[in-house]
Amino acid sequence: MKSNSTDQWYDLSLKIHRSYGGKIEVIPKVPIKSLQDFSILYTPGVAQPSRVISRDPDQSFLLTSRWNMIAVVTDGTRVLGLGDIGPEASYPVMEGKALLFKYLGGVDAIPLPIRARDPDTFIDIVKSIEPAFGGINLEDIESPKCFYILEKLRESLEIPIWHDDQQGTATAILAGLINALKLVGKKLSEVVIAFIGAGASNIATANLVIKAGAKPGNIIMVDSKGILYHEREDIDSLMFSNRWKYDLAIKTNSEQRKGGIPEALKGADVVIAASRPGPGIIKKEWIRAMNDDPIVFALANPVPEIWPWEAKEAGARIIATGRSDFPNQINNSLVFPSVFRGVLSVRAKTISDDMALEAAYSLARFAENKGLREDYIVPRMDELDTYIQVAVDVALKAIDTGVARVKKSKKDLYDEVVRLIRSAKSKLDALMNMGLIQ
Amino acid sequence: MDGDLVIRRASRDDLNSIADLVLRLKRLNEEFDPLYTIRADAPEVIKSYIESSFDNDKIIMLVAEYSGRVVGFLRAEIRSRLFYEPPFEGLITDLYVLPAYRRMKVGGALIDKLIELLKKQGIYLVSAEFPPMNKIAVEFYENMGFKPLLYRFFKKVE
Repeated sequence: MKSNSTDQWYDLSLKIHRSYGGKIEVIPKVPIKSLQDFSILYTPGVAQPSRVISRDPDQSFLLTSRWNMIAVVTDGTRVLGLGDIGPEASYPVMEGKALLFKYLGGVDAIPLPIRARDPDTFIDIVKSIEPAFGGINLEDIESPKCFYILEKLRESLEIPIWHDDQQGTATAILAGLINALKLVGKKLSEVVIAFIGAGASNIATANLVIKAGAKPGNIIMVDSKGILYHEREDIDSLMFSNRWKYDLAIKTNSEQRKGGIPEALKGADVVIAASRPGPGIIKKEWIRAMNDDPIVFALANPVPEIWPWEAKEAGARIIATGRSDFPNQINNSLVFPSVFRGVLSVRAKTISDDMALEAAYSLARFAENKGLREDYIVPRMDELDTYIQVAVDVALKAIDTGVARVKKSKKDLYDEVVRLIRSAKSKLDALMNMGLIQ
Repeated sequence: MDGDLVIRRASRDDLNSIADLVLRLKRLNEEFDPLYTIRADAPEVIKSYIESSFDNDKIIMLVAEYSGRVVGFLRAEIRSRLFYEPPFEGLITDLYVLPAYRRMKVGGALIDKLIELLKKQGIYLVSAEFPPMNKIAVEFYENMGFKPLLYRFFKKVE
């Protein structure tokens, strides 16, 4: 039944993409009433803003769309669960992301799949497009290349850069984890967390939960070869092939636990799985061997590592997946629109780890204020107010930590964020009502 | 990491620990090139390599010990330089530190101790050999003030 309904989505999606020829377009945002307006909006008038920007390039954030424009950049090497399907094939995904950026965050996003498999070429291209954008969202780049690219670009760009598969997912997971721990009455600093899978999202998540207060030694990571420990035979080669995984191998698992997924789950309080589609990757008896009140995040798509009802039968107290048809959907769509809304509104130079943490805490607070339940640990995607709150909190954090180029009061920020997010939706509604989009 | 770092001469009691470290080192090289493919009998060969080194006064072997556990190893050979000054060098043939004990200056401490022992013998040149693809080793030795002075090229002939 499940696979049937997924197939229906596939068919419908192909039809929609074909009939609309993609999902986004560019529309002017200034009134155009006569031919004369072109003398202002374009030449000769446009020479004047150009002159002003040439004297002070920062004016590009005030005189052009740059302040609200980001690029969604990918090399198409790890698209969804489809793998290395190339930049052209990644376009529908990037375009979908751009659509969500606008609809949920009021952010103008340009899909930009590029033909650049070599990481240094990729980095050079992104550096060279910096003048056109207020931020860069990296997407669907294979691991470990994505860590290198993010690290280098974070060092060299003066605009915020974010790799959503790492940071967005990590932020959403942390938000869910904070609330799940509240419900079971455990502390992040004391729990044992098993991570199944050591790809981009789990490596980023492990690092973020450590930043949030988890003890590195209490983290057990499992990759395709089993539990990571610092004397594992392939550890020296990891130092060369994936130093981000190597770093975690050194600082996690202080008891030097060995084995596979069952050994990792034994006595663990939390399991965060982002490995490969299930079911059956995590077995019921392994959940039974966890500590009391197990927290199970089975995040593989399209099928979680264990079905939620199986996890429940095995005693899991809180279960989250990546799917919208089950409760507790851990989804980076909860994060990226608001993070970018926040940083663009204060023209932040970067998105620091502190800002990602703040986004997680803010998301968690939103759900907590609504009332936590075992089947409600994170906001749902349709709770649009969450985007407003998280955007404002991220922007304020940027101001507090000195990475914002523009300071605004909380009230002004709130008004601006509400206006931008609502106007995206109102404009679309208006066009739909007039039958211009149907 | 708790405990104190002790650098001392290797003794025969360390044989098994050292052999394990050297095997890890050689396995790492295997990553770099097919010409570093480990022989099936490498574990035994390594043991006899270390054992025979104990009897050779031209070879210095040091271990780094943390809380009583051998976590690092250095082996160096004293070699003549027929044509150049200074006339001797201490060549580091093997240097390995267990991953969990890296970034704690264990490797540096082993090299400092080697230099101290070499100087006592009137040797004022220290060198090291390792695969050029080992960028981490390149960086390590550069940071220790070493510079490249010799190329060794290989070609497999069929």
